Amino acid sequence: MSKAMQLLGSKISLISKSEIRYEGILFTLNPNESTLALAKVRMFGTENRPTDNPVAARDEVFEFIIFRGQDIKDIRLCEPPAPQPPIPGTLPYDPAIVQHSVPGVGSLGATGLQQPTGLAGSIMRPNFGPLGGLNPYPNLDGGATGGPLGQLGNLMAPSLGAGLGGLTGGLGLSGAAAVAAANLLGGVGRSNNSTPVGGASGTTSQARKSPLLGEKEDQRTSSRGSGGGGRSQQNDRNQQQRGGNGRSNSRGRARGNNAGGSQNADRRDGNRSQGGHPQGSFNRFASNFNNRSKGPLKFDEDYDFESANVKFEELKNKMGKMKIGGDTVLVLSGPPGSTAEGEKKEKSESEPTEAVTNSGDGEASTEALVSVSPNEDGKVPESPVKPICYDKTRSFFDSISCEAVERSKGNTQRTDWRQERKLNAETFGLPFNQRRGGFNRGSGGGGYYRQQSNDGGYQQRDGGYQQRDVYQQREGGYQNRDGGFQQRDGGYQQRDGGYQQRSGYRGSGGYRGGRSARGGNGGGGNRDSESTGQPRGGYNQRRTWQQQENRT
Amino acid sequence: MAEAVASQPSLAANNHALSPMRPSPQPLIAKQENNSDNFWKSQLKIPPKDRRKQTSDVTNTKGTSFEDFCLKRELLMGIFEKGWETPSPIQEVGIPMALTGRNILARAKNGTGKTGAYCIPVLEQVVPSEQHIQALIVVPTRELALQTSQICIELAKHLDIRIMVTTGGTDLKDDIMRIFGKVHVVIATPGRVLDLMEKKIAVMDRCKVLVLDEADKLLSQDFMGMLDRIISFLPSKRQILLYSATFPVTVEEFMRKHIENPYEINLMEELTLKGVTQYYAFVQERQKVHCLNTLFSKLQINQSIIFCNSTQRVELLAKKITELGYSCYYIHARMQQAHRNRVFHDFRNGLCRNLVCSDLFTRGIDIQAVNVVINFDFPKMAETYLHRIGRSGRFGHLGIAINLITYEDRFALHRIESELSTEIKPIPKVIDKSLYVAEFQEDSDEQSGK
Repeated sequence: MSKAMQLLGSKISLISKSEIRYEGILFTLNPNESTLALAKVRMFGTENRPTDNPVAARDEVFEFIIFRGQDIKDIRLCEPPAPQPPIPGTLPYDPAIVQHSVPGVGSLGATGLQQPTGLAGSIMRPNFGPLGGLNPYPNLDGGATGGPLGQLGNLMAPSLGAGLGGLTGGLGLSGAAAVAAANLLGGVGRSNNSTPVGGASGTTSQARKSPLLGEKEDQRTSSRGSGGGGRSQQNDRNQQQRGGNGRSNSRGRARGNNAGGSQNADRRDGNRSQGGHPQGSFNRFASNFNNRSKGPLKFDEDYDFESANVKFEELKNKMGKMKIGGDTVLVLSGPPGSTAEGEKKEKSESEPTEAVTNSGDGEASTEALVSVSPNEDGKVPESPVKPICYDKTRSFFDSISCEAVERSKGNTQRTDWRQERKLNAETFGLPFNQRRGGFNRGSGGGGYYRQQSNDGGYQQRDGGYQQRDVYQQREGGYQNRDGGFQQRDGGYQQRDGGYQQRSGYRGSGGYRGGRSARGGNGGGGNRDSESTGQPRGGYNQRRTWQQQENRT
Repeated sequence: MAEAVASQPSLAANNHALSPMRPSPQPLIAKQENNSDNFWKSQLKIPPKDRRKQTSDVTNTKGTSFEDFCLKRELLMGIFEKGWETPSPIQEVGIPMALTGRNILARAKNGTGKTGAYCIPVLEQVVPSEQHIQALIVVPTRELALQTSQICIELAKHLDIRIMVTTGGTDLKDDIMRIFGKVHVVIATPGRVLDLMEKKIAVMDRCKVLVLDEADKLLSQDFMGMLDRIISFLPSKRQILLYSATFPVTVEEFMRKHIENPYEINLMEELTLKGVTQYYAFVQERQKVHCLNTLFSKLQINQSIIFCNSTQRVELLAKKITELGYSCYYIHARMQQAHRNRVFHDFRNGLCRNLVCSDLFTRGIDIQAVNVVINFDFPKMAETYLHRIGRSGRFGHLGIAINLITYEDRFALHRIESELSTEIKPIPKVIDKSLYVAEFQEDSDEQSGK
């Protein structure tokens, strides 16, 4: 046990079953889930090891990767842990740190949720012993992640206690190859898929009973209640990821964080939906990971509604004055300029931690400027003049704006897929130039499963029915045809994607390829068929053709 | 207790209430009341009463009771066991009118009991001994079909009426088998039922009643012409009932073509629900997630529905939310039907607090526990907006709607606000919990309940 503790913080080199080597610092071992988490991970690719899908090394250092034991082929200890004294303020690297706040920024924002954090700290400290006893932990984050952290603590306590003894034997401090350890992990992993089932009822009832706080509250209680075995896997993993990524957040990369966040989710998906195919999951894991920059999703402060709304009022007022001037040109140039300023100000106020700006940002704001102008022309004059849209005494019918009327006028509110993608990039912090539709698409089913795993009971199913995912994607692709060229394109690629996925999870390179190829057009298609797709109820196919005729 | 209270004043008000409805049932009503022994009532398994506050959107009635409609006792039992105590305004007017066999064009606000207003008369009119399809209820989405059929089945619990739901995304063969097993009431989405009709599997030549729920949606371009075709399979002598909260002028054409002399019911003085307080929060696009996170931490969400403007954004946002440490489901039209059903079912049952969705869930979906609706993406159309925010504040309960508004949305905000003649206020620092949290309404509930 104590040996295992000492291992935490060691530099570890591991090779996955897809022959990709990673080096990083051992952060946690979780025999319950048979996962192992490395922090500060570098990916060295397949390094001339024979494999069907060679992967090149990458320069980035990932804050955190969780590995599934079954998929680890070889594991080695590179260096024993290097103890480092904690210096609050300028924190050195320490694997015990799951997250910490920016020095000087007291971010204990949301109330009531700090308790679990404290709890986490107290549980973790004894376990980590000399390494983990770092103090910034308990006071690190405010409400936002309090619950999950609590859970992390809970989770780690039993797992470290229970399973590490065995592992230590295999890994040892000697640094010898520890295939045995990997085997052990793999062995435990068998039971992995079924674990969460037990937790279902517990989570469920919790979720219903406590209507007070957020979901976090639920998660926390449920995890505590169910002991160790049966709780939902998703939560656990979620927690760990967030935890590991904490550091980069503290450096204030709000933007990058987002991207990393989605990546995490994706990774999780892979894992989840492929419960029955352990091999595949790893690749999916890894390849997704490589594609994006990292970071957690955590906000140190509350969004400042008041000042934002004040700003909004100001903008409106400014607009009003401009309009009275009657000079359209002025109107056009004025407000956008002020928006840009506003944005900058806003940024510095509400996201003081943001240091690295995403390249998409600049584009996005110019984009905003561009799209302002048509609005300006089209709709402003309309709104004040707008007659009463509904008056019971006058007519049964109303004249409020609605899709039906717009479409009968021939104004299809079709958003350009490119624009949509840009918008998504901005909202969700995805790198804009990546073809990201696909990743989303690809994990469509998985995403849903992931949610489901909250109540554990469906976990089993998720694992077993990978095939379904494939179908779903196909279906998606098919519907995509709905809107013109791009969509159609997307449709085909979708299908490809589905095929690839079916035949070879194994090749991470190939898989990635399939994904991104699919990606590009998925984005546009998505939206389009949505607007016409939903209401159709049972009539997808027919409608699709009709729509197409309409359009052409 | 509730219905005892309710039925007494209603007896007195009864004649008065029904007199403007002209048609026959008056003497019948008297008969029914005379032999109303209370035995069957004592046998009812009535669910616990919902103690939340209700607005005048549902309480402003004339005091009629369900017993006044001269319904079959078995149906009444179903109604009471569903926990429905007294008819809502639309039911009060709509049920007796529908029972007369007239065509109806009814307009009532979101979540004020329209489904009950047509299900009850439909079930009442079905003759169980006649083995053919007697009523067809058409709704725009599959989930809504499931929801409606569930309500119907519950209402018909003590009746020997066979109810069937048929929607796209399911195996056609199963539906065919079931139809051959004789069905009285079909609840369907347009595409599938039209398919069954055209294949001559669903025989509608003696289907006397057609209900179009969310009629304006069904008559919109989305279902171009389908309803015309469906009607062509019905007998020439049929009753058509149209219900919605929104009726654009475009519906008029259909009316003229197919509906003879409809009785118009309009209970909407204004468009928006009284119980739903609307706020906006000004954000930049890239602050939306942050803003949402803050909302999650500050609001006391019982259940929430979060709307995005595209399926892709639904998925992206759902991911973000899980990364933030909150659990959520998501649903949109591009998911496999089995998954959609699962999500819908589980969210209804409260397995998850938050649901991210597309406009698939904009209409009709009734999840009583939802007290917060968030427009993560602001809609373009007032109609969409109105139906979206109507997902909270069901049946006159209280709820809030929060709109994330970007600079680009500002005109839409203003336009929708004025089109609906409603007020969307800037979000305050603290939102008064009595505006949307059930526990904070109990006191006032007792006061208003008297």
